[in-house]
Amino acid sequence: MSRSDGIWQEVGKYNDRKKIEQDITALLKQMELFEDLSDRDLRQIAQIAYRRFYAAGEAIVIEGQDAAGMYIIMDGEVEVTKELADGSVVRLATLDSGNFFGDVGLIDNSPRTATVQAVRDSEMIGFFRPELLDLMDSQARLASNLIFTLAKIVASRLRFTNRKLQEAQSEIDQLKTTLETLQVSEADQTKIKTEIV
Amino acid sequence: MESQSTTQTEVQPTDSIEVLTETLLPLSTTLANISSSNRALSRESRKQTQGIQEQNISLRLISMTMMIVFIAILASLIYLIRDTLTIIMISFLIAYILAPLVDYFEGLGIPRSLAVTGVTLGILAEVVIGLIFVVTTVANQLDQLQASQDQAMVGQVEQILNSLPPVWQTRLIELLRVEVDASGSSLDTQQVIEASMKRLEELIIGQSNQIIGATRGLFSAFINGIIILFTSFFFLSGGRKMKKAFMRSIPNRIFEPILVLLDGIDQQLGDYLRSRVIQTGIIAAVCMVGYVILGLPLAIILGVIAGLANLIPYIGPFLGAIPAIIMVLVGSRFGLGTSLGGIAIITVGVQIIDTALITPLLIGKSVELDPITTVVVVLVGEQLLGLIGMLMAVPLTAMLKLICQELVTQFRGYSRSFTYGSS
Repeated sequence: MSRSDGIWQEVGKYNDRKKIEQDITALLKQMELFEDLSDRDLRQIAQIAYRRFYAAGEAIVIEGQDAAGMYIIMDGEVEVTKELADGSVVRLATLDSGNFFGDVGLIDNSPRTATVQAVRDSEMIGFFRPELLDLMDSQARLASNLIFTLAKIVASRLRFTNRKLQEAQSEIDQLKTTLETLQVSEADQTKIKTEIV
Repeated sequence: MESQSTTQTEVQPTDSIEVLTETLLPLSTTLANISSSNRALSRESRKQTQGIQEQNISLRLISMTMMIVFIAILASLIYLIRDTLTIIMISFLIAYILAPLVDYFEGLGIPRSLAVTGVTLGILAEVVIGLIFVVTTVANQLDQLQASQDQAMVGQVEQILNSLPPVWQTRLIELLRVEVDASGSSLDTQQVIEASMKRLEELIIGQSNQIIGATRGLFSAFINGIIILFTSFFFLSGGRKMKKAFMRSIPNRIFEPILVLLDGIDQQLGDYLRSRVIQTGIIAAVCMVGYVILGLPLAIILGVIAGLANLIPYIGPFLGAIPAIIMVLVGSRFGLGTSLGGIAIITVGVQIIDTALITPLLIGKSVELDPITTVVVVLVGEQLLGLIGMLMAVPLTAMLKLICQELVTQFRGYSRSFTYGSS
């Protein structure tokens, strides 16, 4: 698997670039994320995408670093981890081919909320905000389609987070009720003890 | 048993001491040997360390010398190919300024290659039409100037001749005779005048040769213009591919920061260059209108000069007014004083508009250069590339400043995130 090539090796690699774009288009076509886009749109999206290779253990995005875009796993496996306040690291998820991450980074440049690193040698397709902004200038319709798709993903994730939040809230409420019951029974016990004395 | 045991206990220490002595003595000798060899080793090691340090210093000196030589060679090379670099730089700037126009046409559904070709041909057509218009106007106005100057000169000569006493008139003819008749043969007055006219013709032909030289210069500038236009075309059509090829060579660790950095530079530079173009256009237009009102010859050219000169801060507006002042001496609608006053009002007025409106609205404070830097870069630009260097010095330095600012911002963000990420 070739890593980052020298700039001079890139000169004249027209056919290679075409092949890369075709591969990216084929992969995007299989993804649910891009199912509403036409072949022509996908070809144009492939033109703004970057194919990157990561060795096992290599960080793809680092927690706290300003976000620049999103990645789709073309081939390989990655691990999403988060550092807690006490310095310990927890594993949040493991993603493999066809999955994507960092999608909010395509819209907003706020710092990354987790670190993602390759578990084994992996091949990624990266989409980045500067290119998306250029696309908005030159291909407004396509860019709006892409942003709408992203908005749908963000909305579905927001719904998921809201559901989880509601579950957590109801759990907290339940615990509070239990605690109050326990506190009441303790008060009753104290009252009984006082009466006996 | 007791005595035996006492004897035994009395004997034991002596034996132990002997045993200890026998054991310790060789040990101490061994230790002494070891310590001595250690000392020898440490001496050797110190010597080696010293040697390595000396080698390191020599290596550092060699690498520093090589670096200096490399920088000197690079600087010489840049100096040698400065004309080509100027063409590439101007093409790059033009491509940068035109990129939004190409993006706009691409957004309308026109393929990028077609949009780039259309924009380039459009600019070429505008330049050619502009040149034809300017050359025609300049030629006409120069003819008028020449005619008025000739008439003025004839009048002045007649006035001078009439005012001269007859003795002096004769003396003047004698002087002309000496000037035109090197062989010393006697020429009558009529012949002297004819010979003088011939000399004048030769002088005019000499001037014509100068004009031919200037035309050659113009032709060379035209060829350079065409080369710049073609290079801009390639920058416009292949810019994205060049960026992608460059980004492929960037290591993963710094890929995102570099991408964001390039984008930041791209935004800042694009905004800055387009603002400067708009600023130059507005100032040129205002000056042009003012000069037309004053009735100055070549008002369009004078306006363009004033707009371009404004790229040089502080002294630029005054340099830009000099050609207009010269033209006032040649001719204007109003009197000398009124016209000079008018130029002063135009120059100061344009400066007020620029400082109070255009600069704050279009160009941010962040790209302002302090006066000393400005003067130094303008002088360096003039020394390297002449007038073009003077014009390009401040925008290029401002661009460099923007790039450095963006580098510092990104580097701070990157190092902060790195510390945060690894803590």
